[in-house]
Amino acid sequence: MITLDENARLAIDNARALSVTMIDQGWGTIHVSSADCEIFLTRGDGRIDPLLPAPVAAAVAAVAAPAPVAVLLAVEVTAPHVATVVSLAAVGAVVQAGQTVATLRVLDETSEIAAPVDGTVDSHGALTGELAEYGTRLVTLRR
Amino acid sequence: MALRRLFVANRGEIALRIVRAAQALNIETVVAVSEADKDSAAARLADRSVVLGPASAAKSYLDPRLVVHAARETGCDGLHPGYGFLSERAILPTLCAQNGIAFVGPEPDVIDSLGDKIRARGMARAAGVPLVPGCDGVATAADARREGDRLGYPVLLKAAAGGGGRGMVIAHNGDDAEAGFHRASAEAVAAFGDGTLFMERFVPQARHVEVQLMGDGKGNVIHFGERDCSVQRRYQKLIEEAPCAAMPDHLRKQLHASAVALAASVNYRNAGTCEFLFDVKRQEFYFIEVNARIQVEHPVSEMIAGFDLVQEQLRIAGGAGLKLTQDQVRLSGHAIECRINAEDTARDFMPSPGRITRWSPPSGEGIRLDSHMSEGAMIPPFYDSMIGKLIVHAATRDAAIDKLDAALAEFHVEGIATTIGLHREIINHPDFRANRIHTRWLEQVLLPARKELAA
Repeated sequence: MITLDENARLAIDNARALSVTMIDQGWGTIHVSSADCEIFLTRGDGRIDPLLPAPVAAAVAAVAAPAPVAVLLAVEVTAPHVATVVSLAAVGAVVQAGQTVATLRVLDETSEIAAPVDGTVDSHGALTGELAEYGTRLVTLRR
Repeated sequence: MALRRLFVANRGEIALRIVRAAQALNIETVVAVSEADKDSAAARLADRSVVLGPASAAKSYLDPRLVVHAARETGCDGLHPGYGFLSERAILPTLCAQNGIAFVGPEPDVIDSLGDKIRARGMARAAGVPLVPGCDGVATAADARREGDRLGYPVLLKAAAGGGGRGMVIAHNGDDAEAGFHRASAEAVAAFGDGTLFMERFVPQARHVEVQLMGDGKGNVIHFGERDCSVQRRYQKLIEEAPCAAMPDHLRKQLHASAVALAASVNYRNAGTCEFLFDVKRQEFYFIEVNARIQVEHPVSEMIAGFDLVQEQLRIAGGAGLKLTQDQVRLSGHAIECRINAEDTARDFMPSPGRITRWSPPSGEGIRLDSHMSEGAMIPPFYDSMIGKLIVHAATRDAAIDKLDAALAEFHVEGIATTIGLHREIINHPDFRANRIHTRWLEQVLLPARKELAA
């Protein structure tokens, strides 16, 4: 027989509460945050997980008709957190996936933002030297 | 020099409360928000809001570098941390100081010292503040057994860096103490990154009493009376009142003097709370800890003092001395606060996030509601479930309870589950009316009876 103390019972109660929430309230997502530990559950494909970096918006810019269909894909690269924009890849620059398209600064530390896909820098969504909030479009890449 | 532009590094009702206090002093405000709080009431009321990061608190409200960077780049000369989140992390005032921003709170070294419960006990001892009989360092399971045997069971094993009941275990005998040592230490490492433990004699049926303090860092510390926060569930306060009607005057004076002495010993700056256990049976009080920030329950002290503590925080952070002397603090009447949480009490207090479809709060003389909610507002699932605090003030405790009962009856919220109904049950219980409560009363008396009725 296992004897549970109050803390163990608390942990089990919390786990049970989560399960009941999932089942009874039909939640597709549950985000649990405790100290430095965070858990995100979803029944879907997880693409709306707030713990993941901001989604890269992909948009069909134009569709020509009739066939053959020509598709131009624009990909927005956004700020993953609030930061000051140090530099942006020049408009017209051709970049490969993984290549830096923006440099951001938080206090005295800089970080580089990589292009998620191959493409050409089509436009800027922020100005160098300015504060970019989370989700601010930094550059748009044309594939 | 008075603050000119304030960065509010928090969310919910306290962010709104701080913005309003700043506006009353003609201070501009910039509110930090996560993606989930972009349309919050505080963001709408402030002069500007800045989206720090995604909904995840770890990537927004809990990242001190993002917070201070946003404050600096928006030209803020002051930063208010509110409560929770980074409010008691010394890294925040440290970064503020490095970036020319006045932190609305104590110095980083004071936060560090008081945040370490073993060091805080040492400081309290040095200031002559009574402590629960215990020991400061428990390094091994064998130590736990030996100290438990010496103190007499039951004992509490507590995390030095802890709070909110995490890393805390009750041991009723030597075997419990050894097993509890491992569990409390592991829990403390997981929650706080520090497994250091200390031990105290467990005081059964104690009341939680705390003193509201304010210091200006210029050698002046005053108090605004005490609060009784004994209605708790899992170490979380649900109802707070001021004053503590169960405490006799001679003990109350000693309590206030102890709290002020401790704060004065570190030349405390800004708002703080000194927490005590009150052993009603023995008529003794013991130091628990100092919370180096404004607390959720500060409004009950404001109501009996007729004084805005958050505005005073901002004045002091701007370099001013205390506005009042102790003799000028006049405490009158009785105030009670209920924390209104979006929780389903019938389902083990399960959080109830969602959209509020009806929000009809009470109003009237002596009734105050601190809330960021409104009809149509969305409660995100990412943060704590408190949606507001209902506070009443009346001439006596009985009159305050009657007023609170009427206010709760008038308070209608739909679309989510709330704790409003539970609060009415608590305050109308004969034990609450007769003031025969303690920190375990809710869990040992009312909630089991409630469960039995529902079965």
